[in-house]
Amino acid sequence: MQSAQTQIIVVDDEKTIRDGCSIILKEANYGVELAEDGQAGLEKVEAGKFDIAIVDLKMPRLSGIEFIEAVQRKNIEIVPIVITGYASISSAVEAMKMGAYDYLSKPFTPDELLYIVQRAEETVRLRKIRKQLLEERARSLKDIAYEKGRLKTILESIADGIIVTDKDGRIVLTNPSLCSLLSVEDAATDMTAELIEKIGDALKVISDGAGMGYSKVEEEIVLGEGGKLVVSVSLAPVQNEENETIGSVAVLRDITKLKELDRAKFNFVRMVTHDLKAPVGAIQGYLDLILDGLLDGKPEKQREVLERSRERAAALLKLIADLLSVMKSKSGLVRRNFESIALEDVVNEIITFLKVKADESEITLRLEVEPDFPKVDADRSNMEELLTNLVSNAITYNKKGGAVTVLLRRHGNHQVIIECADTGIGIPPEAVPRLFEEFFRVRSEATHKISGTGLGLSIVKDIVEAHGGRITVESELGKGTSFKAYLPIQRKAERGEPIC
Amino acid sequence: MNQTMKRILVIDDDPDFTSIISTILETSDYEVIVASDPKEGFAVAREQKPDLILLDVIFYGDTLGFEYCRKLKKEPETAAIPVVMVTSVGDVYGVDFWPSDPDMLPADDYISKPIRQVDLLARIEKILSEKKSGGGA
Repeated sequence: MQSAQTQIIVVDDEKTIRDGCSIILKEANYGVELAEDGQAGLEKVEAGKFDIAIVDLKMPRLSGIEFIEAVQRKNIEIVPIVITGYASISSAVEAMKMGAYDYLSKPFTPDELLYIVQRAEETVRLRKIRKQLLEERARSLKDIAYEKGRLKTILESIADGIIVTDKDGRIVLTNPSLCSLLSVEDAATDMTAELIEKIGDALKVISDGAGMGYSKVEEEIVLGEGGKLVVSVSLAPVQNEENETIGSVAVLRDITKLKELDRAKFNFVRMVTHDLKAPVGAIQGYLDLILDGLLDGKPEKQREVLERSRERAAALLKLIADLLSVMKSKSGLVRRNFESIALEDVVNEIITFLKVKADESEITLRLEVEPDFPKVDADRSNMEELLTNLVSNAITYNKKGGAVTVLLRRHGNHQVIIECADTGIGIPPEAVPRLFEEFFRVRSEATHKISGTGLGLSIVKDIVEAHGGRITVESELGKGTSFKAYLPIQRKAERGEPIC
Repeated sequence: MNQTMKRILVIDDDPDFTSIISTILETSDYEVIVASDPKEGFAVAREQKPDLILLDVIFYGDTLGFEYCRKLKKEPETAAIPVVMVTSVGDVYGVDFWPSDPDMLPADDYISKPIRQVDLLARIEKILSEKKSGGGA
């Protein structure tokens, strides 16, 4: 039997006692060791693992009582039995008060010795069990705390808001994400009446459906004025083993951005459809006028109408080209080819290309380059498109005899500025925030006659941002406008991540 | 004042559209007033009290047409004037309209571009004759 043989140490200065006990105990299958005095006994007990100590009260160096005291002090687990002399019950009693388990008074028989040792053994056994149970309990408590800690961590790191209610619909658990979702400090107390009302109705549906088996309800709830916060709520009942509903769990997810995106996409499609159909409708309308005979006998009117149709057709082609540009950019299909480019060369090309248009309104096109202007990492055709759009706009919205200047200069150690400044009609301040929106066009007396797609600047912004830069605009009505595109000299950022 | 000639106010920002519609309507003996933006159109409607208004849905990229149609219907001076809204996508329930918004349907009738002469004239006649027989709204 491997399970620990009980180890006994006999501490007595009388050799006969030592040997006598040793024989008796070893015969009864105990492990036995001997010590001649208290000190030696203490040392052995400190060094080894003993269950029971049989200790004489009267010993040199360290008495029995001192031995027991020491053992207590050092927290050594051992059951002491004291051996007392002939007429010293009182000292035995004193020893027991100090912590001895029992006493043997001399002379004692082997039976008496064994009897007391067995009883001590029982205590040893019980103490061991108690120790084990205590350790187990500590472990269990630790496990529970760990599990609780884990669940708490999980709940706290879930990005969606969570509400757990009991069967009466009262809130029993929430998580921090719920609080930040609803912008409240303490969800249980601060949850808006509005939300509780809205979720409450949905909760009632679940609890009313109790016993109908597991079901999940999804609702979109709009909170705040003007639908400031749109939340999707998934509700599920919590059931016990008897399939009774004892509460519910609601998971709230913020879908406001998603809805905005939906709406934005919807608007984009609507705008595109409208802008594509308009020129075609006009051309068809004019053709119908002629074919239905309404312009018979009016050759000048017919000519006018046909010329107008031609203009609309040309504008439609430009729109389609711009739309493709925007679509490609947005869908990530475009593959940009970054090379080290001398931007001044690109500007000069554009200026040459647009000179004819500028000459029509007697507008001067100029390029100013800082000395030692660096080459820049960029996609060449993107830069061409960017400069074409900016310079072309600057010409279109300019005054007769005015000027367009493109300036290239450094900005700090890592960036350059491409500036396009004109002496044109300027932009009204309320239009500035919307300037880079798709299809946005400034509508005023001055711009009434000017046609355009409204896509040019959104394309420019897209290009600048894809190169890791940003674009700003300054303008004064009647005086002129300046667009500044900040670009990194070297390509560090991934697409779409501005580093300035 | 020539009572027999009906006056139609056309509010649309596309100059070709208004030119075409004007030609069609004038050929059928309607008098045409043109406004290129809804604010101007609203003012003209109050002053001149046309017999019918053709109002585009989209101006400057927004569905301003609906807003002004509601305004026209609220304003006592113009509430009785029938409004036909002109949409640029085939179906009334198509892309032009946010599907679940009841506020999006305030007009008396809808017609979509491209407008066929025959269709336009027929609708206008129908609305004007209903108005005459039905009395004021």
